[in-house]
Amino acid sequence: MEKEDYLKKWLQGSLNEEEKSVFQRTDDYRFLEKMSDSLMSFKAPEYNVEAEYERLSARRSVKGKVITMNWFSPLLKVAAVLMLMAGSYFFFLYDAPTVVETLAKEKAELVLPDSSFVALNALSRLSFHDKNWKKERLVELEGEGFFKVAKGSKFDVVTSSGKVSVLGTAFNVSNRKDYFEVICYEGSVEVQSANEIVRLLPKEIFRTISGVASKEITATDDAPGWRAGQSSFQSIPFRYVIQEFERQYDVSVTARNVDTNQLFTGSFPHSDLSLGLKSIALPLNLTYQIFEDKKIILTGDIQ
Amino acid sequence: MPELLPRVTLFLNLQDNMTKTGANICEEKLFNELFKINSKDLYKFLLYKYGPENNPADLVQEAFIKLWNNCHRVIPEKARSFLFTVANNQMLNDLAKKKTVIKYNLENQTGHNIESPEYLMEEKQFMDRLQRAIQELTEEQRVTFLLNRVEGKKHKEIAEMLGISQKAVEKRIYTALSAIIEKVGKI
Repeated sequence: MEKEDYLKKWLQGSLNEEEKSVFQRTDDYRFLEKMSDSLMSFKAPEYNVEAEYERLSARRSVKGKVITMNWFSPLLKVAAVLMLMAGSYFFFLYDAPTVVETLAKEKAELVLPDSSFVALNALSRLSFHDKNWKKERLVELEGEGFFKVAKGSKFDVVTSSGKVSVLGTAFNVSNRKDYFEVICYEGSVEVQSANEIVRLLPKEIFRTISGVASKEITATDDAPGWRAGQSSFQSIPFRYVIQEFERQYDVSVTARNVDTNQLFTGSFPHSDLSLGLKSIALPLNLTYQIFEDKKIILTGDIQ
Repeated sequence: MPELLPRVTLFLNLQDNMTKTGANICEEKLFNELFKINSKDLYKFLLYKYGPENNPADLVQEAFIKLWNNCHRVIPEKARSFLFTVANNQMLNDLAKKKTVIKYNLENQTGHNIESPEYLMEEKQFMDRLQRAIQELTEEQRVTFLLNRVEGKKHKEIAEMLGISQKAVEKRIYTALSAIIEKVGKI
């Protein structure tokens, strides 16, 4: 047997007894034995599977988050586009209305973009769209306002009780609970309420009280009384007078033994509470008491 | 070119496995199991082939990270060959590869307690010659030889690790042994 064959068989560990005893006497065999011993010194350092797995897990969890983001990012893209669209809508297209509000006892005046003039009585709210103004002169009104409209195209006042349309004029709109009143001072005014369309000329009044509409002529000035600091009434149920009084003085009025449906003609000033009270109480033969917490009691003589 | 072969077959396997379903490596438990089975062998394979200077433990980590990222596309049966191929390719791609330095560690040696100075001298010379001879082997020869002679891996196991035939493993081991005998010579 050749040396090569011995070596191969030794490597495979397939030498038989006879071959082994022959091979063991050679220098090659002694070398191989020594080498085998010595090779153990080349053994790889121990590999700590547990520790290495922990190290791997720490790194893998970072990768895991990246994978999550991959799933998440299409949603982020969609969200970003939506935000952009919403943002540009609000920036370029959305026209937030301009709102003017008054509290009780308060009045306000403002000039609209076309230099039309509006005065707001107490507890009223006016809103309009600046950007749309050139196309459409339209304001929304709750409460009472006096308008002096610049000449031009149609001007609309929208209220919950009806729409008032004019072409350059001065008029007053009062839209209170169950009470709707339009007074024309200049030019002509068209009032569209739920049931009818009425055209008003100067000094004409259109009223809807609790759903009952009426049209009257009034000997009024060229502006409503409240503009000059007093509220004037002409054949108005007394309860609306009380409501207006509450708004002008920011008080609460209780009427005892008073027929609040009786008609009232007269006026009260806005500047002096006791004078105002006298103005509404004396004509109806009522007595009044003023309490500290803005409460007023009117007492009549109905049994 | 035996190294090209496993890469080609691996690629084909991946293609097949795309459509297969079954046990999923993405499951933590199976992945952990695969790590326990393969990490140590992979580490030794890399160490003997490229030496400790080339961070075999880190290469093991990289290979498992790659396996994790491709966990949907590799079936468990192919994980081992995937790991060995990936780890080996990473090393091949690494241009900054350091020269392989395999060193002996006398602490591992057993049995010799009190020796004469001459014997120790001879011993050291022998070890140095053996070390040089091992370092001068080709990477393929060294990893095959050491896995077999030091780690006691069977030819079949080594053939699977390297993606070559058992015959080729036997031949490499014999060639490596011949080279060592020639360089280290007689005792």
